[in-house]
Amino acid sequence: MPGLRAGLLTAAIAATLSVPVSADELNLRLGARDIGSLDPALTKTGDDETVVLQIFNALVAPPRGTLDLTIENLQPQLAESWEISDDKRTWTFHLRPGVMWQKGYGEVSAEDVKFSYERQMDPALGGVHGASFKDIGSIDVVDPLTVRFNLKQGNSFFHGQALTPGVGRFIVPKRAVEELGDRFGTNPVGSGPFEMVEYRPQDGITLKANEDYFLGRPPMDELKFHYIPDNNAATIAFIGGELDATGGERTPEWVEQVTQTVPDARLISIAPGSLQFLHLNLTVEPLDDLKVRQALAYGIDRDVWGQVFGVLSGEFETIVPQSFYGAIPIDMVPKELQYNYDPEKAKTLLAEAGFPDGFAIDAIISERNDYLTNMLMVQDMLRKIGVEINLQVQDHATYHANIREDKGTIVELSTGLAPSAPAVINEFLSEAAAVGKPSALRNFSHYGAVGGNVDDLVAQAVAETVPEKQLELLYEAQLQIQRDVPVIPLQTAPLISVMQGDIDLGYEPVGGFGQHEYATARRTGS
Amino acid sequence: MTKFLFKRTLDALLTAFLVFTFVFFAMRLLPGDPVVAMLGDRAGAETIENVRRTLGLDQPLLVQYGNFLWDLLHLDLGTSLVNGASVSELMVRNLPHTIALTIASTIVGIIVGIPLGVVSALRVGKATDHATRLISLFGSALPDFYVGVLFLLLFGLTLGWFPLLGGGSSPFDLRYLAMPAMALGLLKGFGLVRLTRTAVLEVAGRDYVRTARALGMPRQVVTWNHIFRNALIPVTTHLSLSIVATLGGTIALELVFNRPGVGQLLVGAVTSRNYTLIQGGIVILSILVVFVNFATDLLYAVIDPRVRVS
Repeated sequence: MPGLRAGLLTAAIAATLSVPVSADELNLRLGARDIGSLDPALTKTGDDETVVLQIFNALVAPPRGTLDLTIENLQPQLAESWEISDDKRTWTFHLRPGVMWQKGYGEVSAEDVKFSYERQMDPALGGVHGASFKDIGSIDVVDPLTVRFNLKQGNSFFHGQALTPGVGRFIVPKRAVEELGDRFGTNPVGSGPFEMVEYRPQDGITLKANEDYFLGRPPMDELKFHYIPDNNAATIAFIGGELDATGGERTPEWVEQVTQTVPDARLISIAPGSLQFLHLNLTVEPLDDLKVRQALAYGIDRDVWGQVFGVLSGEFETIVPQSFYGAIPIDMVPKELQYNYDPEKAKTLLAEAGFPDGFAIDAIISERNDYLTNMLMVQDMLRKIGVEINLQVQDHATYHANIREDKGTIVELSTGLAPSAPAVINEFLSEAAAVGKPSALRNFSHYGAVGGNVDDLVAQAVAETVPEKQLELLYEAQLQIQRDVPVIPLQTAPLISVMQGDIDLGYEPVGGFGQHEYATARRTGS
Repeated sequence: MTKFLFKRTLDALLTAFLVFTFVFFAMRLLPGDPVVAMLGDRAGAETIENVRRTLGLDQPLLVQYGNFLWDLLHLDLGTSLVNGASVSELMVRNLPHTIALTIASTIVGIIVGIPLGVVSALRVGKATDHATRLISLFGSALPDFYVGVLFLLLFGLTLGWFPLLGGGSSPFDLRYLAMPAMALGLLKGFGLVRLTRTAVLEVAGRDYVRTARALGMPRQVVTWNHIFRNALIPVTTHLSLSIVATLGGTIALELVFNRPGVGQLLVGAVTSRNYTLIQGGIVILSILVVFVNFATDLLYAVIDPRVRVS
């Protein structure tokens, strides 16, 4: 009897205290501590963009769940049709009629499109997406539902760079932005499948279904996003069923633990995810010596990453991952430029460069797991060819501030990027992007500024309208980069998340920046 | 008493001022750039400079400090560098969660720690005493995040008694407060057991207790009026320090239970070098800590009239 009493008491407490999970809502994790801004022009983190993706639309989009930016495969979103001039300088879009802004802000118009882009091109806004729109010369409102982009020069990648969802390419309502001012960042108004209901600082965000969504009301009533910075807390909540989807530690152990504990959980892997590579600072001795850089490239065994990270690792052979548009196919790269692991050759090259006994070099590195683990592996491998890297581990904020101030020697980066060869090269290897310049982006090697330069080849490729010629130019640029070795690719790290088995997203996510769209998500059991 | 209060208030204000002045300069001596941290690694150099100018971070340090003090005089703690939210509002929102956890865990600590400590002292050298000491010693050695995870796994995941996520609709929502309060309270309690035991034993050995016993006073009267009351002074000091530590130091448990609180707020702020939020948070926390110390002083005065005289 005492056992029964205890059992009943337990059941009673459980019934009183536990939180029922509604079948019509999804509970989703955000790994940040709080919102940055839900104004698409001001987003800076993947978590903010996850929320923004549910609220806003872009003009066009790649096929759902992919980052396929082939121009023939572009899908309509707010634009239902478009014309692109032969020289790729004039891009005209016809908007769907009758698409309404949420919360009574009227119909989506060409004026809104013009406004959305022009405000981001104003440096005073403080957004970080402006570089994506630098090719825009002017934007014309042809009629209330037709908008025309006039580019400064032809750009065959303009759609991938400036028109598809993500990093500032969403269309916002002019009237709402002007009326709400700074408050737009926490009270966003879009045209998408869900609309903002509530923001609880440091706690979460609730979105509800947009009944009038032009592509059809979403099956779920609500999306509840929870800010959970701690991976353990999120994993336990997922195992307990309080979370429907979460990311976690980027380790094979985490993946194994969570998929074994929740057997019907679905593992979602989005490629290529983060690009992880080393910049070799060409202004630092002895990294300014090509033979030394080649030796380092030969001294790193990239196959080890696949063995260590398993499902969390993807191949990365040249600076542009094979899945990106314009990547040079690996079989077109001569063997001697592929830098397959060869420690003996590395030692020979070091000796030829005047370092028969190797050398030591100081390097700073972030304490963040993905940075530090990679660098420790590199350190260990290079020790075998006589190169000693003296690591100074710093917290992530300090590391990023320091590499911006050009304090890096061998600089590691782990980052997502638009999937095209010009985007990667322009961001990391163009002369203008070199650290220290006013237009600096993330060129920590100073490639192009102090040695080697592929800017002309890439500019010609971007303006080229014949695809074969365009690819030829891009391949040539990548071969030149392979010859100069300003960077050493390590691996790509797919973005891994888990989702409860009873959720059907309505599409198969395979490529992208790690965000899922929940417009067609539903529970299969309900 | 008025002079006592006035002097304590002045001390308190001066302490708070020194604390946040120190924090203001210490934060800026740390490496790392709040604008780079805020904008992420995609931002270009021009954008970084623009934002730095907009936020006034390009001004000389003393000018920034002057602005900070001026705003403070106007009770303005500024806005978060990361998302422009009002620092006062963020603190007002998170502080009750921390205060709730502090109060609840202190109550649990008192309920567990003081009776066990007294029992242990009254049965000194016996099996009960040994067992209590062993358990409390073992318990005090456990890290708080570890106990938190154990509670989460046992009471949340396995038994399903409590929700696993968040802080609930109000800071005092028991469904969400119970687990972290029990975890933290138990740890506090273990610390209190040993302290109470020592204090009781120390007072019990004093001359006036022996005299009271020799005069034939009932045992209970001696225990409660003479021993317990006097033993409360070190216990009160310990509780006060423990409250102060909890106010700013519940970070691990707030993280484990994903509970919004000041600890979480400030750790996030330090990670992103969010100067204004750190400054604002420290201003409010230091005022609170000073208030707790102040209240402790008053409590001493109530427990022991000699304090007032001195």
